[in-house]
Amino acid sequence: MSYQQPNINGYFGEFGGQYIPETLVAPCQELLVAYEDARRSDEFQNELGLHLRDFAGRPTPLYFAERLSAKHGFRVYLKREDLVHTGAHKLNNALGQVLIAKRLGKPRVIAETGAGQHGVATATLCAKFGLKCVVYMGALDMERQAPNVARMKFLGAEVRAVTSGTKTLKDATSEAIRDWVTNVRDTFYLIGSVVGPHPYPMMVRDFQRVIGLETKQMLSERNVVVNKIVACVGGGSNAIGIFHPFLDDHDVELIGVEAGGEGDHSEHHAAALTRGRPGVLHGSRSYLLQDDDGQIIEAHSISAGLDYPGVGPEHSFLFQSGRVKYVRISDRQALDAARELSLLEGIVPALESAHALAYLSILSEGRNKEGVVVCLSGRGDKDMAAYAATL
Amino acid sequence: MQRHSNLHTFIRDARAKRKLLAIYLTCGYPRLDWTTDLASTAFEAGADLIELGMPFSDPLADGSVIQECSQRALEQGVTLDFLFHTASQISKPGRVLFMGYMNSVLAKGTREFVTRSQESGMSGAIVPDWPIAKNAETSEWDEAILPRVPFVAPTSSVERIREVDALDAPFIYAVSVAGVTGMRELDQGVLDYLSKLKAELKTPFLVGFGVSDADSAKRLASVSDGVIVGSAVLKGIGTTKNFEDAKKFVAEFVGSLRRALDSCK
Repeated sequence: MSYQQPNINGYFGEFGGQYIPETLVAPCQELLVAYEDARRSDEFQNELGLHLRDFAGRPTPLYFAERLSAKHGFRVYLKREDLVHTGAHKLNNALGQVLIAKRLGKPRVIAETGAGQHGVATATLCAKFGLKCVVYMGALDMERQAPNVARMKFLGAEVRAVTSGTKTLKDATSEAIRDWVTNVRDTFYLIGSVVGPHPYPMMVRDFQRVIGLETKQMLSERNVVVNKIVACVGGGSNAIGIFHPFLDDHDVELIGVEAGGEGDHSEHHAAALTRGRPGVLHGSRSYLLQDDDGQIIEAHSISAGLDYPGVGPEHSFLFQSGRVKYVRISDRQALDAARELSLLEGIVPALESAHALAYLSILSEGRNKEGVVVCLSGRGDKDMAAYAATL
Repeated sequence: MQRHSNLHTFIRDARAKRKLLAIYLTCGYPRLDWTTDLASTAFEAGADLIELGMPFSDPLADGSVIQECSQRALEQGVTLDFLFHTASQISKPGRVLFMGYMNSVLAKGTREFVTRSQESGMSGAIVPDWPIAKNAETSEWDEAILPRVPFVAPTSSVERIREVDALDAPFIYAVSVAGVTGMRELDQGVLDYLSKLKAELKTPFLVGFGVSDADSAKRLASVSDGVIVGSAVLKGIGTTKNFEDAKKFVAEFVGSLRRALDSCK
């Protein structure tokens, strides 16, 4: 039977749904209707396709990493999302949602951001389409990712520092939701990952599926067979994007890499699936890092983009069903993998993507005759301070 | 199906006599052992209901006052077990309700949560991020034991308002404006919206979000069955210097709200 998720109420198995204040019920319904309408509209799809090609720079290459392959003893292909305009896969989704915001006639767009990549993508598109843009960012993340803060401001966005709670992505998300509840009539909430209430996890996935669709087509054109696809998982949008078109291809093993932080002996990690349990946060039911009383526990990862205590509900479903295998990679392993790719291939990856790359070293201990695709979700310019510190 | 809960009975009887006054207190704020007495003081000063708030790490429906109270209460060490214990100390049949987020309910498990709430004397639950749509958690929840109070908001459609009305809840929590909890200026638009609700709803409804003082309580109660006051009480408690001052503030403030509501019959 082919993969069909979510159901009509936005559930992926027992995960997802709409756990939201009553004020947001109508706007979520309005969004669902607008999205379903856009999805079926040739005009919308043509406009999206045009901007993906001419503005985002798609399709992105499927790059055969020759020296990396030689090192690991199997063929490694990199899906080059780092080459998308603004430097990561985030623009694919932001573009789709900005076009929906325009269809709904909402003049103001808000977003949350952790590492700043989604904030930059949103600020970029609001500039291009002439929309007012407000980005919520944890005060701690603003310090860690100062260059992206400057970039957003230079693009005309207002960046609001969030000083509540842990001052990171989860608090920025809560604050964006509060803004949305308050200004719901003229404001579009542009969520950056496959999280939040229905229809966001489904809609964001659909906008990121282009990664997997291109990968599938390029493999087929070259008559290349791979047996594994690897991607990092924070909220999990790049991973769902590349996995989704392969979910019915049972010969292809799908591997999601969570941020193991300081390692399995430590409580400092961001592995919501493999070290958390189900709960409700930010509008949907999914795996979470939480204590026995349901209070959310602070996540830790060297990568700000993976530093989130939850995960998209579809990943929870795929974890529970066993279709996708989820593993952990530590901060240290990710740093090593980033260095390896830089030295062997001349590509500096984002710290998030480096988690997926680090899994290659674990694979090379086993037998992998066919080949592996790694989703290189973003480029590493924003992480140069962390990389330079290892020299 | 749930008409005979204690809460239904209490609301029905009280509503026939007066406008209803519900006071929200964050459990354990500002000190663990103050909540029981502050709740009793509020009852003595004329509160009909106490909403006992379980602090949550990520309270996305709350404004800055309740966010800060929640954080402070969590730092004091408030747990669900402590909340149940506190509720059992202030228990008045049909008059103490749980208020908190979905994840706190799920942490105990829906069935155990309902049982523990009942055992501790609570008679209802208000969970702002729990939708009225059917889901697994809803089917495990025994409405006859612990009825849930549903919400309507200014963005709710007429169909939605009717759907909520048909739930036959003890009362409905009407959010006065699109936004988070906290005090704000009232405008005519709010009163017009509430007048429409009054015409539409058969279920009693209390207005929350944005009740700051006796005057706004009176104006909102004139077009509803009563009001829910949270942030204004907590903010006031936060400015007091000691326990006696806090009790005095609650007695005076709740008393002023009571008098305001009684004057609009």
